[in-house]
Amino acid sequence: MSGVDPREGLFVASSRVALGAFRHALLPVMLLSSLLALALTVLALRPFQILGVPAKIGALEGRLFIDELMPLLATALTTARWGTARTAEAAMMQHGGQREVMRLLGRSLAMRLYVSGVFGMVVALPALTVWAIWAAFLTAALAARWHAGLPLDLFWSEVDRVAAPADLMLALVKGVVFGAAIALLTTRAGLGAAPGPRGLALAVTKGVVRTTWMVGVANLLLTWGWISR
Amino acid sequence: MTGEVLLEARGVSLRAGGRLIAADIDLEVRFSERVCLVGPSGAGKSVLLRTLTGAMRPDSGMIRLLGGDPVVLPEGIARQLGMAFQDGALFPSMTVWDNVALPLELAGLAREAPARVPEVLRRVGLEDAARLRPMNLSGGMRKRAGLARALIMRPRLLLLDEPTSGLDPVTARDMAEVVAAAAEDAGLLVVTHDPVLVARLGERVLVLEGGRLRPADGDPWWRAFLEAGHPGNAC
Repeated sequence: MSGVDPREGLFVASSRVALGAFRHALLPVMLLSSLLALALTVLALRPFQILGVPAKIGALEGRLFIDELMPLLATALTTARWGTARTAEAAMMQHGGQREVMRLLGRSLAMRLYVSGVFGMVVALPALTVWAIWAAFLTAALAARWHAGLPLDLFWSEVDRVAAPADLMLALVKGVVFGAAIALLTTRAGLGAAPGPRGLALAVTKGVVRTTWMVGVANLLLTWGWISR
Repeated sequence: MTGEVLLEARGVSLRAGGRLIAADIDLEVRFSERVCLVGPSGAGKSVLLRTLTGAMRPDSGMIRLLGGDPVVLPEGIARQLGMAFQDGALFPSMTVWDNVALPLELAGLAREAPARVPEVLRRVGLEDAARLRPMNLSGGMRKRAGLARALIMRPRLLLLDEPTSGLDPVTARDMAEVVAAAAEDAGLLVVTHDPVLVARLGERVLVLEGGRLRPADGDPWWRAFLEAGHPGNAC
């Protein structure tokens, strides 16, 4: 996180949030989504092989990756990286006097942090989710080929059979909702932090825990709504 | 303009963090008046100053800052009020120049920055540090940069929170001169522990202790403070 510049317009500030969050999470999201996909594919392939339908691994992973796992993985990593940094930055500005400086200059630092964070995150997190989905499928397809000799086109045809474009839309909606939740809750935790190192530590923990709960509940509701439509 | 009340507090009481900060205090700062607020560490001077600027509401009483409620700052107040914080409160991602120019930019006066910023940086002795970021400054330099930002708008009311603490004696004396010069065309309320600053500025010295605000003349704490060997006995 490169710090708040109060001279920037909201569009520039939001773009900087989005680009910064995306850039910093790009590699970890790719690595972790690939590792998760590799582990799942290797572990789940065996039962399908026993049943004589190894290609069904694509069917299992198709909606699992798009609808659930990768949106949550991208969210968890973004909360851990961007969210904790935002909480700490907001807390430091609250107690370092910068928020008060802005107030006396007729501007609201809190509003600036909230708005730029939400706009930035509702762009960055869906993008990171798509990135995670892409990396996971690529790894899963290659793992299935190397581990069980499953042809790539067979894997993709199974994925294509179970996952509709609307599933990707659900993943993007989740990215938007979770991104807004991360921005709002971690910023709020920072601005409400008590003074001192312990106050900062508690605020960071509070931001992560509240975001996790909120994302968990929102995910349940979105998935439930999607399944029962 | 002379004698106009810029800051007024009537019957203000405040408790913060379990401490009594103010108990029914009255305070007034007029244009071209210099008021020093002193008192023991932990008496709540900085908290009171922040309350006067509207960062928190008092439990009771009335505060008027430049004619308005400080919690809901009146339009255009940024052009009339300069405040310096204890540790500078600089934005870490911006250079000293950008921090000092910030009030001008937010007030739509960015075109005046090339003329005004070097001049005010020279006054606080930071002309060579204009391109540095706060992380590369010492505590004293950050404090002086914060003072420069408070002065850049040529405000009618200056509120300073310990502007010379942590500075070497020579720099502290120079800063006292800078503040004194700025206060010639403004009202000034300064929270300080620096007897030199008080001696240079203190037309009116008030002691805050135990939530009570009283004149320093004849005050036992003030007498003990002066007798403790500080070089400010002149005042």
